[in-house]
Amino acid sequence: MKTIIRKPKKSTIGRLIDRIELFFVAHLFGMAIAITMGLMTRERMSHNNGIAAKGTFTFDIDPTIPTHPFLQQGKVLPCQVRHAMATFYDDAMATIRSLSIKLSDQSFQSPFDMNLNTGSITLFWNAASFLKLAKMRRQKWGIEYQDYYKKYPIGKAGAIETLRRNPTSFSNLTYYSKTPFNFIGDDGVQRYAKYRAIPFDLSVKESGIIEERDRLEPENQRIIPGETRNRNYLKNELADRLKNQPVKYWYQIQIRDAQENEDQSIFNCCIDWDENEFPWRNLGVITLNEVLDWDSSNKLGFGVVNMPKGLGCIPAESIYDYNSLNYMRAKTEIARKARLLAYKLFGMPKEIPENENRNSSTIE
Amino acid sequence: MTKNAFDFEEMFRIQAECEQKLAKQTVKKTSRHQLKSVHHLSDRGSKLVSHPIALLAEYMYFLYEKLRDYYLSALARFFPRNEHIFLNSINSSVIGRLTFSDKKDYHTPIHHMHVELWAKTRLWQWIKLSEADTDTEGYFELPFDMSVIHRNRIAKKIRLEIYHTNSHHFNEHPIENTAEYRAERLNSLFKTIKINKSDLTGMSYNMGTIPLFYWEYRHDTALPRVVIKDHDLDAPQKYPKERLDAIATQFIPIELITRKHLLRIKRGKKLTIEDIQADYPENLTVAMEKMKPGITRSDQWFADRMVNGMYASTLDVDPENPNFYWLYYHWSSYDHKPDYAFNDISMKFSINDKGYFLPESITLKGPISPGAKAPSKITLTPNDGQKWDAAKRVARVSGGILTEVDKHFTETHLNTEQYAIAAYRNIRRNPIGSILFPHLRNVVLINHTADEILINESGYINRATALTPAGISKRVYDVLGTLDWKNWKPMKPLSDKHRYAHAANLFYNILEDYIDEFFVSYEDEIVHEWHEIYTFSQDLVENAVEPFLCKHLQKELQANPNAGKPAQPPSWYTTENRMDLNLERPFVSDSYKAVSHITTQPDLDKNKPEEYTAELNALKKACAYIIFNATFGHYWANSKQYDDIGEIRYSSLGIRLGTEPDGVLGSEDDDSIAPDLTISTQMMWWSNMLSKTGYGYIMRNEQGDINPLLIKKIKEKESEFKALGVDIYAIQSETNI
Repeated sequence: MKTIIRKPKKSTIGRLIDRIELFFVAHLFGMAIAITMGLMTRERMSHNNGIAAKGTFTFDIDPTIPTHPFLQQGKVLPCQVRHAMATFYDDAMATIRSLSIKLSDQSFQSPFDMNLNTGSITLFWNAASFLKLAKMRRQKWGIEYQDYYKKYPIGKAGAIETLRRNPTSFSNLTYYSKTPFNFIGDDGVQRYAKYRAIPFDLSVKESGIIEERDRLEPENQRIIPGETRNRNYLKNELADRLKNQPVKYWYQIQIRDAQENEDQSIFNCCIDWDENEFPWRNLGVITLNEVLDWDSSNKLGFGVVNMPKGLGCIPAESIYDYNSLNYMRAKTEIARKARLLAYKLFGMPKEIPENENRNSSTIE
Repeated sequence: MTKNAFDFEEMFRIQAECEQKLAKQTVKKTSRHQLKSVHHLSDRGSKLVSHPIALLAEYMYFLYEKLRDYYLSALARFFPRNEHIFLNSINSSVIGRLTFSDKKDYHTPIHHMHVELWAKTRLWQWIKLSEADTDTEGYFELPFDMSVIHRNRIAKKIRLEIYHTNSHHFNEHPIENTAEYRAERLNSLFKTIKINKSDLTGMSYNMGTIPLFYWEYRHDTALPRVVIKDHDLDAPQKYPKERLDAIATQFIPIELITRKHLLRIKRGKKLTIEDIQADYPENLTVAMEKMKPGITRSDQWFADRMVNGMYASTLDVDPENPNFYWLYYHWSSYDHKPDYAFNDISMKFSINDKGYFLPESITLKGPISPGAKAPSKITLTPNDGQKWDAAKRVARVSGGILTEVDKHFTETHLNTEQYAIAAYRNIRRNPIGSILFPHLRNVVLINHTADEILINESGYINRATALTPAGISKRVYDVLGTLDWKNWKPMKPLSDKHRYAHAANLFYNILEDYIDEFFVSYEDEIVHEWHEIYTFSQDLVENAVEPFLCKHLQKELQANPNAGKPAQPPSWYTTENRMDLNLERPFVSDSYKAVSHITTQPDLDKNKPEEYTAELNALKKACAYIIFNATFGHYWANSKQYDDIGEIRYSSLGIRLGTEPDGVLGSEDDDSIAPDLTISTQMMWWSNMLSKTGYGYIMRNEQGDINPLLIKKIKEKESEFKALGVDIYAIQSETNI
């Protein structure tokens, strides 16, 4: 069988249909989250189990980074950070840990927000795969995504990379944005950027990397039998730590120039950029001084729409486009508003109790 | 010597004349009856379609099939499958693993299976997305461009198609002077699995382990047999329509004769063996008897048929006098029914100064008459008149069942099946498939049919011969345990007039020559895909039966292959056409195996020239052995059945002790010895059916998959074959009946 390779044709109508589908999928998804989670259960889409802190962000910019009006060397901005876990209310489970940054002292308004998670890659790569993940979660007693991992081995690899079990502190983990963003600086050149936060003390070794047992079965996120850590141990650790000393992170950026006929895989959040070719460079220092109370923490919202001009999301063309993830994130703003409305109507959710309700996906 | 003495030359002249006459004898199908398939054949009444309504329904179904085929071919014409892969950038893949599905086999990967990923659009067009072969561990990866699927939202159905290789096509044009005839793999669709389009979200989509019901070994028998649950639904192969047409045309008239006889017997109407014989087409012995009465009962004819007829027996030299030869039929250790003559037989032959064989004596051990109590042993010679003729008849009958069970069913059918299963399970890319598959085709189908109508409890052998089902099973297992490819050679001619041995050697030499040439052309590809030969060998040996040597020979030869005890046989023991007793048998899974490894090397290394050459030579020998048995070996045993068991009183597969004092040594006309009427007509059904194949000949190459080089080489030797009484156009290409 002789095979000749041909390029597929895509009509203007085809592209339009793709965009309409993306538009509707993203908005319907945002609406569904707003109703089912924001209004009905007063929860975020994920990462409900968290703790927030505030401090400052000081720009300490590597001189090789192209200049941008927002990036001003030495400038200090107020900073709020929320550390959280998806999606269980038990810190001792194997879960993804996150760090969300807001360079402002407001609960939502901000010139720059960024959501970072542990692991350099993730479990999904576009809107379609994210919806598939959501559909195939089938969580029960701390075990989830079995079928998803079977069908999508990259998703399983992403889980192995991102899950952390029993880290000793939020402060010694490394967090990645994973999805790339635009970076159009003063020179007007199209570039792309990824972000990460690493412990300020570079000698600190990341804790919580999952071991062989969890690598074989990432779907089993349950606490280890005989676990002595309580369900809030990690949040408590951060609160205790901040009573004694500030917690600091380096905030770094990875930048690459755009190319003609760009290989779309560079936008794939399941594929790392080569660190030798595109090294991580310092952007600034996050310094956390004080823990926020439960209510203030809950009111915080982080959105990919909160970005300076030139650093925002990369446009997406379809639900299969790798950039559709950020597009869909941007369209879930309604869910945050619905959650805040529900707080006003039904009151704030109660704090996570120190009890033995382990492996729980609910707050009780 | 018997009173009817004939000159050998005259006898062969009469034989040739009769064979010419019979060759022109054709049976024409004049009735409306239709045969559904080969596995609907039965000596107790095949499933023929005969009722007018059924025929009409059959015709309507035929019309429906034609319309459906026309519709499908029109669809294929209007919406052809473009073999070009649509691709811009690889951004997704479908991955998975193919394994066998059997509970003992589900960890075994299916390597080198061709898989393709297709999309069907809303406008019924087909788009090929990707293709690949599974690797040696059965894993496949089909990289594709996801934008093609979601392009303009036009793709509707996505499917994974799994193809298997079971045939080849030969290109007769030289390609770059590397080979005269190039084989091209023909893949046919084996299974289709639908994929939900929404599951293809990019990156890798894992279809997991896909177990295939594909050439599975049976576990309900110790024999290496393939699982066929339903012949019409899940058999690994299918007969071509032409094969069914051929057997329907040739066999339905015979079937109707048998039906007529069975009906007369059922209604108690008068019928004699002579009536039955007369209704069927003349066979060789009947025709010769008409020309010269007594000729087929002569010593000359008896001896010639024993070495050159259907029996084609292997003789051993007399240890005490090298001018004599012995032929043994030992049955006593196999379960059998008491009312049949089923003696252990020892026949002594000599060869005269012209090279012709002559019988010297026949010794019958065991009961020869009804009610015989003490174990009896009687030796008869040509001086014993009518009893000598009767002894020859007993020997013919015994040879008939031995040839059917040992040589025909086990040595060709079952022996070929064990190689066929291992080959089809493992050989796909290796060019060896192109020389093996045309000869291994359909053997498992006919063996499955044989189980039902010949071998099982209700089968003909149990009903018509002395052997019980337990006896048949043990015999078949033992005989298969004497067969191995390694160091096998065809029978050594004992004289110029040993035509079978000469013809067998001529054919085998052609095969060796053909395979040598084939290897010269394909050596690099064969070596490159050596993994397939390795797994082929592993499956073959792992599933082989235990080796067997009868207790008598164990004692005489001081050997026991089933105990790891090889031996150099004495000079009187014929080593050709037999298992090499010098070899120690492979010990696998806690037992010795009859079949030797073709290779134990997963890869061949040219830097180890001795090992490299030895392994390649072993493969050549194995191929020659396999092809020989499936073609010439089967042709000889099969095509001469109507000659040697096509006359009821001359020879049948079972002979009874009778009711007279002389028992089985009584007159040929004694109906109490001969098979009863039902068995008689069924025996004629069998001998006609088995000999009238009508399809699957090397020279006709009906399916176009036989290497033209083989055909050319056989054609070059046509006159030499003719001199030995072999019509090259009658040599079968496959064991299909």
